[in-house]
Amino acid sequence: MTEQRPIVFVVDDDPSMRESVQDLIASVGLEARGFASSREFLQAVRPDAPACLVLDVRLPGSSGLNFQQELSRAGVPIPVIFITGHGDIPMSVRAIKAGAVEFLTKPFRDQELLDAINAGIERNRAQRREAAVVDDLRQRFAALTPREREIMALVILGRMNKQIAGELGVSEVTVKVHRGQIMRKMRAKSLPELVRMGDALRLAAVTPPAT
Amino acid sequence: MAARDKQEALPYPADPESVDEALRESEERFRTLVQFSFDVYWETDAQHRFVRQEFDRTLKDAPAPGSEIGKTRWEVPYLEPDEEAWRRHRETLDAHLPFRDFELARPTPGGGKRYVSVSGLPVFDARGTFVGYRGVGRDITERKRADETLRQREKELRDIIETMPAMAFVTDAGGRNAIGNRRWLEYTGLGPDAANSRVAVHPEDAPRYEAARRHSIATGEPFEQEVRLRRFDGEYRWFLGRAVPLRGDGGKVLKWYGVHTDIHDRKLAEEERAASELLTRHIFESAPDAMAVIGRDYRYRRLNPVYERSWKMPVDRIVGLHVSDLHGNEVFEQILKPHMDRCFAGEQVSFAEWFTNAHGRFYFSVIYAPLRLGSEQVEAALAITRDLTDHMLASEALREAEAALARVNRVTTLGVLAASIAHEVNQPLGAITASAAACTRWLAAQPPEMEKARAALQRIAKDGRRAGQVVDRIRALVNRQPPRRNRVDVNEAILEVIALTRDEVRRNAIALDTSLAPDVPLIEGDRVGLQQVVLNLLVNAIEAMKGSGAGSRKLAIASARDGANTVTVEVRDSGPGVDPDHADRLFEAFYSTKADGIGMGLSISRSIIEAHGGRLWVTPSLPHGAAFRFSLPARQPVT
Repeated sequence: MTEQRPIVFVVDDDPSMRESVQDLIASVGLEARGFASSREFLQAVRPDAPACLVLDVRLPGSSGLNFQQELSRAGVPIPVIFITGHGDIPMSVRAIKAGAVEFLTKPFRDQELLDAINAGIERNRAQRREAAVVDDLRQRFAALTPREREIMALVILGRMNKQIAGELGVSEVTVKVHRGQIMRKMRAKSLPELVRMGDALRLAAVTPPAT
Repeated sequence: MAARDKQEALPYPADPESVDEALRESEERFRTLVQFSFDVYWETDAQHRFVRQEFDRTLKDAPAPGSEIGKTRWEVPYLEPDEEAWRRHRETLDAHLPFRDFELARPTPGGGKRYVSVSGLPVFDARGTFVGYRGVGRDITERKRADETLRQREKELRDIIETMPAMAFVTDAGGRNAIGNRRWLEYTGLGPDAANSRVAVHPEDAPRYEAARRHSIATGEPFEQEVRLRRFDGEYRWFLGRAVPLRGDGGKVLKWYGVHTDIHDRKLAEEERAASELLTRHIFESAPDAMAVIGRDYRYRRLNPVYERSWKMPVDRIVGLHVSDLHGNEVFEQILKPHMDRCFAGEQVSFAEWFTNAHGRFYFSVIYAPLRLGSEQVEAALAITRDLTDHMLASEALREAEAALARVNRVTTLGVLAASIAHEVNQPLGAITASAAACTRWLAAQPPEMEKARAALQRIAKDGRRAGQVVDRIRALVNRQPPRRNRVDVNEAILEVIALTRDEVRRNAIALDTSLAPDVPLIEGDRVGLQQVVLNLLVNAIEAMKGSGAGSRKLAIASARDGANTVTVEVRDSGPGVDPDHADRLFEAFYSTKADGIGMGLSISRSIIEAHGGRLWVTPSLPHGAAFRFSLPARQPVT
């Protein structure tokens, strides 16, 4: 799996600012793409690559903070670095709480921005990796029969074979056979590993796949 | 009479031979006498018929000789007298009595009228029997005419006296037994017995009037007095009473003739004029302004005492001085003379100026009014000078205070926008630091990326200028500068203010709509002052909408050309609007609807707009909100 070149999105309505930040990012060898508004950004086709977003707090239409919330609600897992002409503490607290990587006040030191961008890309990479693992587990989980999925749910809840047999009205031997199938199909080497997989899948169950 | 005496003294001849001669002579003499004295000699018979008529040869239009013989006097054509007179006359005749001066009128051939006066004596024969009348007649036409003319003249004279618009009177030499004309009686309402004017004289005038009267009676000098006389209704009016003596032979005064002429209205007018003159003089003397009459020769003719106080020298010494003697030649030639010359040309001139003289520095407001004094040409100028120095100093102080207040308002308003302004400055600064960092990296690359470094440097320069402009704008609004008059592009001024408030608008989630007409004319004014007005209106609008729902906050700024010479600017918001009950108080100083407002913004804004000759007002905006508008007169093109 060869990784795509990371990309940095810059959303700022001030053309001069946008251009300067893009150029700074380009000067360290990263790809930068600028947008004048949040809508432009949403409408653009974004490549499947590790990315982060440099966002001006004050944007025409909707503010940067609101946009950040919209993105996370929409399940776009992209780390955000806020820049602002005039920030205040409540605003930065709100941004960081909402998961922002960094909150920078203009004029900022170049290294601060670049460090934040690198951190953001790194975080996105991890997010992407995690998403890839969950994707793989989901495929294995999909290969289970309905009865096997049922039994697996009970196994990771810590039920004994006897208990499971009693709940499902089958013999204990049958449960054992299914459990062997589950461990094989899920490629789990031990019970704790299967439990971890179950946790990840439950997380994946509430989060739609990232594509 | 002397002639008759002579005739009577003529001697009569005594010898008998000469008796016939004497008789004949006597008859001849008598005939001559009759012819000389009368125009007609006549005789009638016992039946009153003419038996003889002799007309004087000089009598014009005499009847043909013998034409009336055999006719009675009333059978001959006549015009006068009437039947009754004839009847009485015939009674006399039938009684055989003498008659004298019986007047009758006969028609003449020319259609005229001849008056004749006839006298006759009855004649009796030796036995005493009546045989007729013998008499003479005289043509009295001329006398009749003269009488008629005289009578007419007398009547006219009486009419004149009775109708003349004066009260006429006549008294005896001692001023007593006065007789007055009808007008006098009508005026006083007194009977003819009370014609003596003294009864109607006003008690206040009586002693003077009486003294003058006595003096005239004693000396015979004409009398003349102005006096108030009582009218029938009790009102007194002014009259001019005059009387002159009629003197007999030897200069003795026989009578006094006089008239009283009504001069009431004239007298009142005179009194009024006198009072008016007194008032004029009083005003001139006691006016707090310096007043002077300056002749065409630029010399003072008359001055009021204010000059004495101002120039510390007696008015007498200033009269006759040239204006330049007081003010100096330079002030006279450059300031005063041009105005004075316009005044002498007929114009009322007013001006105000700072003057510096030995007594200090003064601000005088001067009016030159042309004085014509009855003629067409301006003979002099009335100069009225008011010392407004204190007033000017006070207004200068007031102006300075107002300017300071306006500046405080600007700074306060900018304080509200501090965050927005910081954003406006930080934006280019952020771009500059980012570009500088990028540039450093492009240069450090192996090989260095020269093109990209140059582009970054160009951006740095551009953003540096931009930051400078923002700072300049702030400084212009904050600086302590007196208002300046320049050509101002209203749109440009508005855009600069919008730039300062941009971040504030965005932070408050307000949708800003800017609609500036491209054809608005330039105006003449103080750019900073006008920007302050726009700034105040924008900040007010933003603050007014803070309470409304985020989605509905709309702010519209528009400029428009209104006619050829007016620019209008409108700032419209969608806030709660202006309470109509408070709309008129909105522009008052220290009136504020905001908890933390000092209430000076709109008051100052209106002062600024009015100082530009414009108006600032507010109207409701539909469906809700307020629209503040101001209009400014466009700059007049330089001709």
